[in-house]
Amino acid sequence: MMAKPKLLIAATALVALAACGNDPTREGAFALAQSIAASTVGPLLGFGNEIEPAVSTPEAIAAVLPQLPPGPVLRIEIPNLENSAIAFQISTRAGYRTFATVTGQTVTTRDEIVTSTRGFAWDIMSSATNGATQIIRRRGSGTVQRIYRYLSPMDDEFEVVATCTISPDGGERITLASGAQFSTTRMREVCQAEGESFTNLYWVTSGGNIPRSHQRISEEVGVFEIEVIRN
Amino acid sequence: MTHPRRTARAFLLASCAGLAATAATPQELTSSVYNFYGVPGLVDMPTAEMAPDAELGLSFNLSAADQRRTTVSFQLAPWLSGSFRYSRLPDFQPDGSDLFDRSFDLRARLLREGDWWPAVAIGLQDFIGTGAYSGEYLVATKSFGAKRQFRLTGGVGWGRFGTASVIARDTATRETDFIDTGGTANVDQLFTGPIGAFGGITWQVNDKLRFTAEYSSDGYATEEERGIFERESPWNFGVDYEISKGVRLSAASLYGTDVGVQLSFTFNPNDPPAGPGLDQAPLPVKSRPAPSADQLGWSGEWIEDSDRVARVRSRVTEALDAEGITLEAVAVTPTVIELRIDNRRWAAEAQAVGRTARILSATLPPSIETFRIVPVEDGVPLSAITLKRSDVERLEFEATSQMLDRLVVTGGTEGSPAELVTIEPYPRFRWGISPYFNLGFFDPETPVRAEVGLNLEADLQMAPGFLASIDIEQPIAGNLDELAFEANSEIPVVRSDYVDYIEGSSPRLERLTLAHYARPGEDYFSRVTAGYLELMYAGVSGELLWKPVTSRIALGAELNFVAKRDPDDVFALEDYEVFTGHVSAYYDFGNGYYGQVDAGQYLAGDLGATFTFQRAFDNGWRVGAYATFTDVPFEDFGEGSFDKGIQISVPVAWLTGQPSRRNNTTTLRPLTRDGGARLRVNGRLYDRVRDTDAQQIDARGGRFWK
Repeated sequence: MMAKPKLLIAATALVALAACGNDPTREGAFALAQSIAASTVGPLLGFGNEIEPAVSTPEAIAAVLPQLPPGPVLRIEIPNLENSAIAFQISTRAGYRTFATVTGQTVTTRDEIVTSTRGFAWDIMSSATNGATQIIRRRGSGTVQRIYRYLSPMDDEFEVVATCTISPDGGERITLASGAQFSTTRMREVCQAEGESFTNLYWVTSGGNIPRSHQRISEEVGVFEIEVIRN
Repeated sequence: MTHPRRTARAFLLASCAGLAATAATPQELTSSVYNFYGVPGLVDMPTAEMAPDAELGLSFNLSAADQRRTTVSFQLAPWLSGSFRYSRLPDFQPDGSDLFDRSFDLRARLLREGDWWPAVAIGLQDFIGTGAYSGEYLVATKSFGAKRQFRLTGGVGWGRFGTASVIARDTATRETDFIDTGGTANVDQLFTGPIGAFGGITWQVNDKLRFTAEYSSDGYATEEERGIFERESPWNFGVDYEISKGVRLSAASLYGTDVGVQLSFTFNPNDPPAGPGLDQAPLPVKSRPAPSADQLGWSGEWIEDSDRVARVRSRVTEALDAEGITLEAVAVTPTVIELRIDNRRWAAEAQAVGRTARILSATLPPSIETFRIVPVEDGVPLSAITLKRSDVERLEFEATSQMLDRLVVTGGTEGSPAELVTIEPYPRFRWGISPYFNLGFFDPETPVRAEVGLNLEADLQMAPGFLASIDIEQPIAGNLDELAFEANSEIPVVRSDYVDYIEGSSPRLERLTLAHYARPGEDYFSRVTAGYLELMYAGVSGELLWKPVTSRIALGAELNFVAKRDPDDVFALEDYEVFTGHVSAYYDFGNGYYGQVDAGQYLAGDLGATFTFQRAFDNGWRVGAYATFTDVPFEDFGEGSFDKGIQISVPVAWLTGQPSRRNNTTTLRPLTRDGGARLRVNGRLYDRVRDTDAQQIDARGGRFWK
């Protein structure tokens, strides 16, 4: 009988192997080995998810911007995932703008309101803002029914209808991580949906732009804290 | 002569069934805490609680009288569960030797809990085993408290549950002699003999911690008789703690003289660790330019420009390749494109189709309005999905159902709109090395055995449908080859010497085959495979399947002529040769329940049939049970009487969150025996075809835009 440690070493060796071959059907098997190793032997050997240092200072942002394709850029913090990302616009179509991170996730917005995400697992598949955008941008008050669509574990799309009450929450002068400053009205959107509630915040300028916002994506992903660092 | 006892039983069952039909409170009383028999319960006794629907529970324990029980339970439906248990009962046999026992249970909830009445369940424990654990019960559980955290249980039981605290004694005694070889249903014993009363209470202190007090009606009569256990008290006390999500540790004091411990694991297909999956974002859809901005493109005259056509083809090929989709062939007209794609990455065909549509929107000249996407496997088209480019442009940000309503799924054998141009030239070579994990369950000594190693697979596709394949496993570490069952069958040794083939650490040739897949007609699929078909057999295998795209029923026939391989010499064959084959009927009951019957001749030359029942989940999970009955007399078959087992197939994508078409399949079978053994040939047709038809695209359609 082979001893236990040998199993551990073997598992570690498997992880160290790069995916090898020319057939994508095999990719998953390596992911499986990696996830098993990450949860068992990985921590013992100091493997882990290496998260790049957040691009959070004006200097860092100024250094990153020239490396990106021209066009709008967002900076997104995701407290729930303990992660942050820079996303640059890759598509604009029918009023929707899609931003991508270098790690293959996307966020689609319409008038700076998030309408869908991809690559975050518990994504918003699509949504209908049903008038919320107009109220927020003109810094007014009102109640709307927003529709969020998600994918179930059985691959069915389901809708969550949220009743959202929007109201101004005072003026605020904000400084973004890039160093840019804006005087804004903070708009608060409180949503009730099927036994849960969440709050979105938008900092809206007099021109109706939203340089900063906190927008809830899903229960698991939590809130995206978005700043527009290039428009 | 009437038989009052049986009449009473029949009435009991009938009235309970009636109650189940009329009960109408919404909430199921569920629990994921498993007792020492591996079913929702107290310590040794069951409750009327059901596990959450689709939950798979796996428990290992050391319980009273040093008995080790390994149980797999599956909640087949919200009201019905099945369990399979493998146990070692030390010194239990009359001659003082250990008993290795397999048992099957079925539990059904008869009545849902209401405001003023308890949940009621009926259970048959070990009803087709050797009888050591046989017992039936009727049990009621009522919950109390704001979070239903207190639960009071009372029940009556027969058999094992009627060996202590007897409240009624039948004049007739229960026939308790073991049926030597097990494996036959002991119907005559059910609900006979003394009736014992049991009960208990549980307190779920918080999400993780539960305390239990139990009054057991199991007298451990045989164990006491043999002098291997002392039962001083009917009271058992237990504590369960969830150490991490789905992993529980339980400990209990047992009958005043013993302690037991248990480790249990629960999984639920409805609760994937990475949710709907960490798939990388797809390409955004691109709108076409206005006609004034691309007059040539809109006119369709670009088709005359062979350079432009070639450029478009190579852009599509490259973009699909980045998505793990191989473009095999393409036919193009000014308005229609047909693509034959081999999807190597996405378990949901709808997702592969969605990603293909996005790429086409971004790469094709504007005059092409119709996309006809034909998924192909090993050169054989399986279906065709037709969609309109303007719908793709219009509906990217809308509810997915809008797009799905506009897809047209057909059989895939309709003619192409133009001549098909082969993109990937033949021969095509694919290879890969990946790790593998093989698991072995139900060994008496070690509940779980495992082996890890590296697996090299390579395919050479010589022409559409013609495939040469090799599959080699290199074990690295493990203890799977220590599984030891002597081949004591009276029939040819065809499977029970399996361990001879996996011994040692040298590489193993699992497969070396030539195969031909084809679709001889709209509703017909065929396969011919020749060579080293599996680890133990080489020969020729042919299969034909009839399955219309929209049909619930499918019929198939398979014929094989094989010789047994030599375990010590990789290419050598032994003298044993046999014709084996089956006719098969497959039925899709809907809601994910599938049935299959295969009748024919098995590897040992025995005749019989295999019955398979499977629950399949849209996300790729499959849990099935099968039983094979052949004309090998139960006495000759040896322990276990007939081949039976449980098959659990978990998508790698579900486990990891990364896209993959692979499933990890484990068969839990009590014994590897020679009766009812089937050839394990690769690429059987039904599973290949079932995965890519209209139903699957519908079931997993939510992933179209994912």
